[in-house]
Amino acid sequence: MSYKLLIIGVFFILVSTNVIAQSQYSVSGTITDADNGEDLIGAMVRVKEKPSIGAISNVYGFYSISLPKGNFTLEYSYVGYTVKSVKVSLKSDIKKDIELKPASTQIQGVEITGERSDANVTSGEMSVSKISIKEVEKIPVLFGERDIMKTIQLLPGIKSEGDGGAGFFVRGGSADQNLILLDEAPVYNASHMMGFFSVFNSDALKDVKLYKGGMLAQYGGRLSSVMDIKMKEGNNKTFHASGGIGLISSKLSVEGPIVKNKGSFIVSGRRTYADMFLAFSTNEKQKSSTLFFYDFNLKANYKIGSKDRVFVSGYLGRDKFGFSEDFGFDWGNKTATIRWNHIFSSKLFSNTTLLYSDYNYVFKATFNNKRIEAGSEIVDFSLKEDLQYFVNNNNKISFGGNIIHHTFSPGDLMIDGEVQPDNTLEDRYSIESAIYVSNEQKIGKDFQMTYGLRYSNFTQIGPGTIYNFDNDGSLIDTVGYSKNEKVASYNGLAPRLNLLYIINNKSSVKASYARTYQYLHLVSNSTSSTPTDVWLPSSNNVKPEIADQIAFGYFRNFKNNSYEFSSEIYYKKIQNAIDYRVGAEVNFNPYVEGDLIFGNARAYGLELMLKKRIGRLSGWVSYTISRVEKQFEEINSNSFYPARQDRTHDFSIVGMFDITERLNISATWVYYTGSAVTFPSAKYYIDGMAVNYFTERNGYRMPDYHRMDVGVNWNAKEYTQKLNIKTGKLEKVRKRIQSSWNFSVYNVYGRENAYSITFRSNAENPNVTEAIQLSLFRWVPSVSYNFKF
Amino acid sequence: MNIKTIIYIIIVAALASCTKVVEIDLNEASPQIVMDAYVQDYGEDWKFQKVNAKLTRSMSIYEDSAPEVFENLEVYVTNEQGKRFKLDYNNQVFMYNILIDDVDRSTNWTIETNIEGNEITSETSIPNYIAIDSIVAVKLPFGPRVDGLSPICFFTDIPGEANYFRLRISINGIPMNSLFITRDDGFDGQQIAYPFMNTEAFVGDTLTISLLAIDELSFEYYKVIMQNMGGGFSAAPGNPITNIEGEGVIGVFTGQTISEVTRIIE
Repeated sequence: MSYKLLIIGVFFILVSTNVIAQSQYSVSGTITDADNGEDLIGAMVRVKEKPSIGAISNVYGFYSISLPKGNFTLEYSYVGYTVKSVKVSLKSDIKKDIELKPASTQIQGVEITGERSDANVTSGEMSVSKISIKEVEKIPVLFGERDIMKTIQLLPGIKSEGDGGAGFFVRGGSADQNLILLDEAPVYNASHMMGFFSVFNSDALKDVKLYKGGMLAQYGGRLSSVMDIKMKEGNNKTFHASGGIGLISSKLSVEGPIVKNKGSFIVSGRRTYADMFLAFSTNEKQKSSTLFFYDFNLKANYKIGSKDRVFVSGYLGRDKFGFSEDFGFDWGNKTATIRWNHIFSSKLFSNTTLLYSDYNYVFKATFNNKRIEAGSEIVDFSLKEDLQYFVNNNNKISFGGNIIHHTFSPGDLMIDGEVQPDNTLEDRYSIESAIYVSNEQKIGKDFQMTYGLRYSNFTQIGPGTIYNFDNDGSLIDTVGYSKNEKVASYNGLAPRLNLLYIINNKSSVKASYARTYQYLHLVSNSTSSTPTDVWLPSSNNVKPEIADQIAFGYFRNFKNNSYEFSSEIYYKKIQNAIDYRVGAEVNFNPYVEGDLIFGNARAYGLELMLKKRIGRLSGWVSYTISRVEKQFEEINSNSFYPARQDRTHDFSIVGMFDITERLNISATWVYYTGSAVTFPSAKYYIDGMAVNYFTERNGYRMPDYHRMDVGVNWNAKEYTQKLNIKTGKLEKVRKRIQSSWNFSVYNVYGRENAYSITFRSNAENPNVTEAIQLSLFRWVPSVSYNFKF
Repeated sequence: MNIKTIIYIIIVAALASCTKVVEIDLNEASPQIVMDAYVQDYGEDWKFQKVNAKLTRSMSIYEDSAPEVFENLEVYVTNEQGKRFKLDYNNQVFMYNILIDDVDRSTNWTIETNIEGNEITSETSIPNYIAIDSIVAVKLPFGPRVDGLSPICFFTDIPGEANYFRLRISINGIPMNSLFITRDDGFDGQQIAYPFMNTEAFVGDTLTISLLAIDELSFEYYKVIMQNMGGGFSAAPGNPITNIEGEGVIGVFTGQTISEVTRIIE
């Protein structure tokens, strides 16, 4: 307790010594795109007369800058936009909403990234990965789909689960240790079709940021990363539509004003039609089978007066697999968010959010003339309040809190629409809450620190029948709890610290420390994430997982910020890590907690990246060398052993080249060491069957993985010649419909990357055991046509 | 071949996963003694219980010969009344048929032997007998191809106790070399229908299904073996817990009852 009081005390001393009352006035407002009204996140405000003073717009485009009484010239800038200068005469607080005009899309090959050009060096955040939506649109991925999840896995420290895998690993963390937020709503399964596509339609997205470490205090609930995805608001000036038609899927987005300059909406939809190939089948049942997914994003916002803005956003996505009417399997997410931005004053900004999130899967089958449905679900209701107080130009305090009600339905069984109580697992309930406070503080012009505290609580509540297990997993007690009765409760105090020292205008060093708590755990009886994985809450048997991560980094830009170099080393230690007893059953098992074992894990590594941001040729090279190890009493005699996601080397090269203004070619090459895997070391026979005998967990490696993807993007002419009747001359007029073709090949040299290796008896000679490698994709071409108007 | 078929073939060929045999260098585990034994009851109508034990040695994963069988051993079983029987060796197996007239039907059994200086023992219990109600072969929506039929075994669980089952199937005298296990979770005291999902039979075939009610530990043993066979996707691959005691010994001693039905599919 004394340790916690010390941290809190130091925090308040640091903050209070910097809150000095002066005669300062504020200029505040929102910075938006002049063409479509979208908020510009991270736009810069500088004062010409005071170069050391500046401010950056927050995720809602809001900024606040403090200045003494007087006349000043404010310069608003954002990469890819024309700088705007505004003269102000300060005698009181001023509200200034600014619209920035996009510059021409290619100025001497300038690539629009939507970020400050020196952000790599000067941003106080570290261990943050950002990819612009425009980069996502150029990089080829499977089936030609633009996919933010696949693209972000090309960055250092972020590893793909592999072909057909739904999740990703960040700095050695497992797939469930990533908090994925879509407009602040958690998304529990972020993939379609077993990981072939992500649930995010890039046409609906505005900004994506992934925190690998140095987590800000406002984030919590997962150990390894936060992927914060913001949807577009919609064009509040004119109506537009865009879409694409591809081999596997098609999509359409429509956006426009509700009231011009006051409110807008955007609706995006996408559907695959992989099952259309089933129409070629001669089997009637196969012909009537289904294999597709769809997703919809909807968002609307409206400004009520000058201080309030309301947002409504939602996501609905579903994967459907069905064999005739006899068998079906579908799964999907639903999220809904209602947000209210309120500007209390020129210094105090508030965001209040009400959230709903639902993930479920259902198996359906007809057997013995009965309709059987079995499934699982997790539902969240949440209320969040986030405030930002712009104390002065050197201090920005963020504080707030949230409360989430979780409902877990681990296994429901219905026959002919009636719930089968003997085969249905009880629902589980819990309340997760947190409060936080942090300060982003500049000390001089070269030093910045962001420090904060997050305090969280997780309480499992009734009603329910709760089981107690001993260390061997044997059931020792069964206790009934009434509604809202406390079953188990955990608290966590999580300090957060980010430090930045700017060596010069080209380089900086950074350091960070973060403690994180995770109260929800994804249990999976498979080496690869699947839609049927089950979310379990912390409970009387399952303690929260706790991670402590430190990181250090050196960052340097070259050639006027056209090249960025970053290097980071990190060390992460995890307590109460979870693994499974041999023979663990995850699905439809009321005693699943007895099949879990608890231990430690550690991850450490070095990440390097060199990125070329500007020019006809752009892209990056990234390399990570790392280790992830686990330690459990029950496994490998309590020695540290490689985790499944341990891959020593991970290498990515991404290149995008503008051959002409209309023709762009891109390529990626990825390589990584094979994952740790358990293979048998001998065999024996039981009842005539060959049985594998194991000597250690994860003592072997899958073959190394590598592949190259290439893509070509060809844009149709943007302008056409039109006769001006008045002047009689031909004029260059922008075409109403802009279009492009994309051709890509995934795995262009057809490498047979191993998805799995199993040991089986040869069908003709059962005495012979063979290692059988399964590979998923070889050459996968795709073509798509995209349009917008 | 029309254009639709050509397009279909191209697309399937491009997207289709592929399998191949690969060479993986594996560490050699030190050889283990393997006991695969059971004591079996046929139900009250039958007047004997049978004990069967096969003792072999584990081998290198790529070795393509049959396992080494231990022959010159003294293997004993003892029932709960303390009566000890020495098993006879015949055709790679140690076995004994115990007449019930001579001794009381016994539930709890112990087996013991000595191999290469290792004392090896194990205990098991025979669960209650459960009979097959009926067997059928029907067309299931997600079953075998075209005109293939899926065999289904019906049996009724004993209420008020946990029951575990292993099933065997042979078609036209050829046994399926796979593990089929289940238990009565959620179906206590009810009739259970067990479909053999990846098994194909046709009209006119002779279908033989054996229902073994087995002890819990043996069920867990077979369950882990099945998980390890699951295409390499088990998140916790490892050796099942054995009930055999002894240095360097693995395997299982199962207590089981057997009910068997044969019919010709019509």
